[in-house]
Parts: sequence; structure tokens; C-alpha cells
Amino acid sequence: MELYRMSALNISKLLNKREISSEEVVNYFWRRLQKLEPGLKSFITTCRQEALQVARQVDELRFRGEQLHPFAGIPVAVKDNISTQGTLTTCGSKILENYYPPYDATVVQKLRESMLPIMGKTNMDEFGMGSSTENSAFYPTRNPWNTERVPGGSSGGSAAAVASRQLPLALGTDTGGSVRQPAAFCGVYGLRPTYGSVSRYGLIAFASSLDQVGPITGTAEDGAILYQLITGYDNKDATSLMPPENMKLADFPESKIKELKIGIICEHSGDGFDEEVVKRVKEMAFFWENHGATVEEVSLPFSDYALAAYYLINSAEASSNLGRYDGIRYGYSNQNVHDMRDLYFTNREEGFGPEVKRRVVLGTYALSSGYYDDYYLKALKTRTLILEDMQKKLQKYDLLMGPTTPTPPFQLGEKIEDPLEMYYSDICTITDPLVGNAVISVPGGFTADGMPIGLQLSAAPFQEYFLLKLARFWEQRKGFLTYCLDEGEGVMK
Amino acid sequence: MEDLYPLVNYLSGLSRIKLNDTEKEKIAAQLKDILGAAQKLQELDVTEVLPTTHVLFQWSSRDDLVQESLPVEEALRNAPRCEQTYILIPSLNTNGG
Repeated sequence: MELYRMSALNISKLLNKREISSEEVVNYFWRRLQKLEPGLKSFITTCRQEALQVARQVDELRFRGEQLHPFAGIPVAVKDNISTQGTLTTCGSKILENYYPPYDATVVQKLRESMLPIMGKTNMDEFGMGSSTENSAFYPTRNPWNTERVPGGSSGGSAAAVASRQLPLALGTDTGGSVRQPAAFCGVYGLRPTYGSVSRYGLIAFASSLDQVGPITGTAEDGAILYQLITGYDNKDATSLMPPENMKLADFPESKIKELKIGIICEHSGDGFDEEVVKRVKEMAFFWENHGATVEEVSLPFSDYALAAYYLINSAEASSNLGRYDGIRYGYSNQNVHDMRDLYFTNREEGFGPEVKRRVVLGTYALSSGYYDDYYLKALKTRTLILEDMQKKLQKYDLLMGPTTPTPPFQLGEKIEDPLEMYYSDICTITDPLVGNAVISVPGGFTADGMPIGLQLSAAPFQEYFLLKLARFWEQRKGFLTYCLDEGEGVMK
Repeated sequence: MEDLYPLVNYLSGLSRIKLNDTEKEKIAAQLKDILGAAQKLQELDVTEVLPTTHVLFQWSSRDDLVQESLPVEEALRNAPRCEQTYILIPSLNTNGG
């Protein structure tokens, strides 16, 4: 049975009809993982035995006729900055290379309660800082569609694992695009939920006012089910939000598409934007128009400022959040130090990679006396301008759309030595986190040389189900392939 | 913009990250580019604008109830050096005493 061609929901139907057992599903994907992983390096840790144990329990409960979650027994991958009790959680960093969390993140607890076997922890840019997964302290992940290209980042491991169908479901995290950009580069679906709608408890903090957990899946429908599983108020997270009543089960009838007003972001085309990417955006605009929606250009005049504001805010928050890593209570620790001062300096020098050091230094600068007003405070005030403008735009438009990334996946090594150029690759994904929007990246087709292109739909906070419904509508009519490796083939070149 | 090496040297101290000369030079050059790009923000007049630290924020507090804590041995499991229920650290004396 070719499970890799199936959505998690369809595998779930087979499980319910008892045509296959959860143990067989886990074993199937494990064999696939073993075959593909050496060429892709999507995982930092794999947990076959634990996954099999959960699968067997699911089989037993199903045999007894117990009510189970639709995804019970279907393997999932978890990004390695999400705490898993007793399972190595490195955050892609040498400083946490031996860290075994003593507790589960709330999202992991939810996966366990619904009995999804966690098959492994996925590779990522160190602490989420990066757009290519090349900043992992361990090894870069490769794009399954072409192993010379990057899978995007920072959730590149999760996106590559789903795109190569080493498993059908994964969790990523998104600070400035880290779910959506790798989803776009790997040709799968990636949802960044509204800030506060998914608990951050147990998520290792990078930039706390921006970090958010989101699903990466092969279909929009799988994304909706996985999102529904992880969302919800959590009193362990002080920024957790109760969704407004009417948003909880918000449904959106397809017949309403003709009433939609959609804005195409005009700043997300032109200089620096690949022609093939822009062409796909236009195709999507025609698609919605053909289904009766009104589509017009919209300007986000603060787009040029958003990137600078975003990098100052995230670096400032990171420099504060990463202050906890000293190698005293946990983490990398050099035992040949003279005193406390030496301990701090040495452990942080040896434990952090270049991008983390760069951001901590930048963030420390932006927060330091004499520069705070000109950089950090200015960035926060710019965030207000961006937010006010976005609120106005979302009163006029139901939805904003554009490319997820300015270019198709770039080559490994192409941007790693030029941080500014790497930062520019996030130009389309940083505005929504600054304003707290719900936003999704959907597969939008392929370049002439077969690389995926992702398109982005963003809406007001708590509009996840609306976005997922539109993504589903798009998926049913366009049906772009979201898996790239056929059984028996090697990694696609 | 002036040479940022002395600034990076100072920030290395504030950040508690030891950087060698090559790293300092590299970060100084990169910081120059990054701060150059960040200068864009100076074009905006934000005198009357309030800062936004959190976009969506509901005051979310919970009752102050005593709950089970992490057992001490669990909490210490990741500590590189400990003795009984204590974490060991090197001397606080920066002269190595």
C-alpha cells in the first residue's frame, strides 16, 4: 500500500476500517525514513520504539472499539525546539546538545493525549534563527525536490520530512516565517496560527512576542485537523488567548467566495522578486477572480520598514531570552574554567553558533543605553504603524495574498555568508507576525526546473479555519503534488 | 559609519560571549551592513506613536494555587555538576581564587 501518497486523513480512514494497523503505519513510515533520511537529514533524533509503543496501544484501543482522535496512530514529527519529556531537545544548538527536558510542551502533551506517535525531532536553524536550516549546529537539511537546494528554515527539517513523506504530519514554529517559508520551499502546507491561539509553554523561546507553533502538512485538511488538535487556551502560557466564541467553529461556505474582497500586496512583486514566483501569484489572483471574488492591488506602505523593525525586535528579544544559557543548570558546559565570568564567556562562545552570536550582539546593541531609543524603541513604534495600517487594510479586505518567498529555493551555501541577504529572503513573511495575523502558505505550483513555489494568504487574527477552508478549496481544484519521492526512487534531483 | 570593531568588542562583554579577533572583525562588518539597513527606520516620524510590545494581549492570570512541582532530582538531571541537591559552580572570584 502506497501510504506516502495518502493524506493523514485517508490513512485514518484505513485505520478505522481496520484495513491496516497503526503499527503497520509506523513501520511503513519508519522504513521510508530510513531510506530517505541519509540524503535529507531532516531529523536530529528519531524515536522508533516510543512511536511503535504508542501505535500498539492505539491498535489495542481501536480493537476494543474505543473512540479515538482521527490522527491517533499516525506518526508526527516535532521540531527540535519543542520540549519533549525525556527525549533529546537540542533546538539545533550545541549549547543544548545534551538537554533532556523534564516536562512536555503543551502541544506535545496534546499530541500524546490524542495518541499520535512522535517519530522524531526535526532539524532546524539554531534557536530558529535562519531561513535555510544551514544554521543547525549539527548538519544542514536538504530540499527533497533537489538536494542541492535548501529546504528553507528554520523549520526546514519538519517541511522536508513531510514533503518527502517520511511521515505525513509535523509541527514547526514560526517567528518571522519559519513555518511558511520552508513549507513553500518544500511544496507543502504551513499554517502560522494567530499569536496566542496555540500555547507556547515548552517552546524554547527565541522572540517571545512573535514565536508561534504551527502545523506543516501535505494537505490543507490535515492542517485543519492538526491545528484543531493543538490550539486552545493554556493557563501555563501568559500570552495564551481565548478565541472569540464565534471563531471557535467558524465555518466558511464556499458559496461565499464570490463575496470575498482580496488584496494582492503590490510591494511583494517587482525588484528582487523572481518572475516565475510573480507569475504564480497572478495565476492565483485569476483563480479567485474566476470564482467570483474581487481582487485588487493593495499597498502596505510600511513593508520596507517591517524587515528592519522585525530584525531589531527579534534580536533584542533573543538577546534577552538567550541570557539563560550559561551551562550551569543545563546545557553545554566546559569544565576547564577558572571562575564564573570565564564560565559564562566560554560556554556561550563554545555553545552558540555564528548566527546566534550575531543576533545576540545586535540585540544587545539595540537594547543598550544610548541606542535603545534609536533602535529598539523605534522598531516598537514602527510596529504600531504597521499594525494600524494592517487593521485598516483588513477592514477593507477579507484576505491579503502574495508570494510566501521572493524566490524559489536557493542553493545550499548561497546566502550563508551574507546575513543581510538571508534576512531579505523573509521579506514576505515578517509583516504578519508583527501584527498577529493568521496566515498560511499553500503550494502554488512549480518552477520550470521543478522547484516548488509557495503562495501566502493572510487574514485577521483567529481566521485560521477561514484560511484553511480557502486553502482546501484551492487544493481541490489545483491539486499540486505535495510529495516528491516515489517508492523505490532515490532522492529526486 | 565608523569601524564597529570597538563597539563589537564592548558588546561581546555585555553579551557575555567571548569572540576572537576574526569573529569580532566579521561581526563588525556584518553589523555595519545590518545597522545600515536598519537606518531606514530613521525616515519615519514616530514622535507621537506609542510602542507595541505585544499585539494581542488579554490579561491572563491564574489562581495562586499550590501545585505539584518538579521533583528535585528531575530538575537537577540536566545540571553538568551537582552534589546532593545542589548545583556546583566555579568560584565567584574573578581572580580565580
